[in-house]
Amino acid sequence: MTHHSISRRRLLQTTGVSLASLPLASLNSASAACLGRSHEDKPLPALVTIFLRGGADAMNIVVPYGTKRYYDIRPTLAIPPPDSEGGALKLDKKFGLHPALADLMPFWEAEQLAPIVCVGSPHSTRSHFDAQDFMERAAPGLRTVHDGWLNRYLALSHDTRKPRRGEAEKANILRAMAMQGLLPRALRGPHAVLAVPSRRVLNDDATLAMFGPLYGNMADDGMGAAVSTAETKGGIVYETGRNTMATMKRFRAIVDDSKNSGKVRYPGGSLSDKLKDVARVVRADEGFEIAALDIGGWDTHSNQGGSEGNMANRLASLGGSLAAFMTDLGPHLENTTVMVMSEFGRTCRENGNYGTDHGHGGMMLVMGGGVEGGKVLGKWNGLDDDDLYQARDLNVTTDFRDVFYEVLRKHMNFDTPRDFFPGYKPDKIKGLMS
Amino acid sequence: MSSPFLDDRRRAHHFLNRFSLGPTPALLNEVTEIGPEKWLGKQLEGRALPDRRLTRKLVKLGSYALTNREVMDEYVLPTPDNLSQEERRRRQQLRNVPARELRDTVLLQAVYGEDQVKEVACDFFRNHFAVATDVGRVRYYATEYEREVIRNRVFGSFGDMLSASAKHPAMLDYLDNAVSRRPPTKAELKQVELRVRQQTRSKEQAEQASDIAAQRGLNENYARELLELHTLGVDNYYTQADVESVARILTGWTIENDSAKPLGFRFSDNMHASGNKKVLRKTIKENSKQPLMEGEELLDILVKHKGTSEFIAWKLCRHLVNDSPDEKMVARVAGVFRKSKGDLRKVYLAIATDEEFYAPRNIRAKFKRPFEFVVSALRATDAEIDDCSRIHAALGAMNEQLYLCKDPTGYYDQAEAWLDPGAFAVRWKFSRDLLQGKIDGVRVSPAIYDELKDSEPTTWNGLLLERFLPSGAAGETRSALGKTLREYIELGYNSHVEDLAPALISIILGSPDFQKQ
Repeated sequence: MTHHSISRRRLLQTTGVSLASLPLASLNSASAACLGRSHEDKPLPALVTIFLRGGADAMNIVVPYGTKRYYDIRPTLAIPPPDSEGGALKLDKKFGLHPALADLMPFWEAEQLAPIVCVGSPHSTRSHFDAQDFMERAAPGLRTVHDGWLNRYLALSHDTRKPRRGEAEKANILRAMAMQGLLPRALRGPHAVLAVPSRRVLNDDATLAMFGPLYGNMADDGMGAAVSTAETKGGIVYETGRNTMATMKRFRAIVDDSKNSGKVRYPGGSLSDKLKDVARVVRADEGFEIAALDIGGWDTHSNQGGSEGNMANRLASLGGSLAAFMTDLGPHLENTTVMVMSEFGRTCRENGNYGTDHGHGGMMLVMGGGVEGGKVLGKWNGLDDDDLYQARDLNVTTDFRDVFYEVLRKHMNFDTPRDFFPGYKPDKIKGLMS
Repeated sequence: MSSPFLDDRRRAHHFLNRFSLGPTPALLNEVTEIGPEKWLGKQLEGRALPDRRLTRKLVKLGSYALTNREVMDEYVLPTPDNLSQEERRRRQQLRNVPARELRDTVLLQAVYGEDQVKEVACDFFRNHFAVATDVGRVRYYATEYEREVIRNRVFGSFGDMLSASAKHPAMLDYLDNAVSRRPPTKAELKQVELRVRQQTRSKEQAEQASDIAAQRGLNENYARELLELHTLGVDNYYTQADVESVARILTGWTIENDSAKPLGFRFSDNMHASGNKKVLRKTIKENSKQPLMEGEELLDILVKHKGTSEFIAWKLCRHLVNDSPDEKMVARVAGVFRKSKGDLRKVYLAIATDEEFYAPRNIRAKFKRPFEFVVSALRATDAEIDDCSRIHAALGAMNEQLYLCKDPTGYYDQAEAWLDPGAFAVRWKFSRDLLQGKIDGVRVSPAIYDELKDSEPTTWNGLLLERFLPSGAAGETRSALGKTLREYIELGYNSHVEDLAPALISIILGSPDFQKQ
């Protein structure tokens, strides 16, 4: 069986853009030769992406306390320098971390956390929706690309590991998942990915039994195909239902298996619960590769707060949950990378409502065992008007695709085929991954 | 099925799948008989009688007919420190009532309203001009907004609705235009500079303070969404410079703060940015006598703009016809929009009577959004709703709670946004819970089983399919129903309709066929 036929089969499980047609264009450039990945018997690398929806204010996450003008243009919002009350947590001479992210500092000290400043999109849009779409599809400005970059990876890569016990015949159906009711754009596309529903739905056995004959068991006795005609087939909607049934069962089997549960205390809350489940799935090491989740509420046009306040509370929840998660992973942290990102940064100056408006350059936090952390990456130009994008926002000195490319290449051992990032010539970001 | 020519009943069914929030047997019979065009004409004239069951339910919602001011007076009581704990809690809970009743109002009207075309149009424009009750004070203003801006205007002109939304406190608050103000004048900046210079004796600091002050005030949030989401469509005919101009033109459009006046729109001279404004390759001249008119002129330009007609026509066709609507059809509809100066009834009519509407590629081509799925299931089962809260919870589990969209885009209406593995399971659970009576406050009508009572169990699937999926079902659905029925009979159970029919109907509601419209 060639890789091509695997892709075709996966395409039939598609969640594509229209009920009538499937998006095939993005796969045309793939050639089988460059796609294989070899892991021998090492655990599969896992990638966890966290998207801060709304354009998180990069300068109050990775704080440029060393740049004097930061304090001039943010009279009420600036995070004080390290060692003052509510001050940033010192990373180096120029930058500090928001104090609410204190739980992440041990990972910085262990050189497992790399903040990247001034990272973003070459496209100038300040629309949330466009910026998110462009970033998640890794195709700035191209409205013709509809699949997400993570889905593209799933559809184009295949695992050349030797099959483990019991999985020789079993297709790996839980390579990726979103810890929320709907998939983020990055995971949309031809490869079927589970959007994990709430526990109430997940654990409702009576419902799953009722819909077994329609979406599950039918395949076992082969009746589904026998009775379908081209015209009456449920098509893509039906296939999505079958995927739902199969992947939910698999997810439950993993998280309900006590051997996968950990001992670390999580801070509680929705994000924390979700990451706890992700940790179980990663630890199970049954072919899982990608988890994605969204956190909303970063569009801080007003009352953003500084060391304390709205944004600080969100950061505290993020930092606490992530720290527990990475601790919980134990040795699996070695083969896990976590990326925290947002669609753009915000205006360098605060606005008249104690907030900031849509900007351009942003930041990323990259964490994990394979990250060469302990240093702030990305070129910083300063905050004088001449240094800013349109005299108001951070310039983008690192293309977000540089980071995606490097994580896929170094961490996921995946050489992106030509046009994986349409119209982009890969550029390595130096010193991110070992 | 393969024939491009639909018989009358299937034609009516397709039409009702788009121009109602779910056909019922009675409605399908009516439209089959008189034809979609005639029925649509009656609907657009607003001649449908109000449903008595609906009226009975709506009168129980105390905030339903209130103005913003009345909502504030009755539901937003002060909570001074000397209140008892109990009274404080009561007052705090009282504040949540209007938004909750608003959600009930929308749901009940969608399910029971006889004006189904209006319900479809409201559903569309509620998302087109989306506001969310978890932002600012929108939860107090959304009741009036839904009634006055959306419902009362979906059969009017687009320009009228646009203008009403631009001036309504719900939108002014939701997208921050209420706080957007002119940057300080040069004189004011000079004052800031002087003051800081006196304080710090530093020229540099004084200049910086003046720079910061210069940035204060202008908020682009509404301006951007006005162009991107409400009129032209993203990056269509406009630039960032236009966004800033629009923000300047609309400075001063804010919310009345005089409690003796209606809690509505107010124009604030003091907040308004002076000067001529260049926008969309035109110049809006400073109107110092009536600065409000600058904004009116802007809205007028937008309503007449070719881009707006194209964008609204495309979005309506996407909603009512196909996720990827035929370009020529969109152009025809956009033409009607321009010719009729945005008369929305003419636009709906143009879509419904366009040759493309019944094209084979459009039949059952739309995937129901959660709201459409839930409402159509409640309508198909003629459910009696005494309490809406569990239905809202189900919509929440499906990520489409009314008036709580996280983005000002409103909820997407394309399959792509909803068709995820996993999301399906929530619909299955709803289907089962509904028929098992497990949704508190909601009962399906026992009459849906009447037909089965005098028939052999072997005929039940056929009867149910005819009722719930009159345009046919996929082989997989029929097989699953057959298998479930067969097992039941083979196990030798008595043929009690009440035991088996709910399971069969649940499977139908959770089938791929019922997710499409």
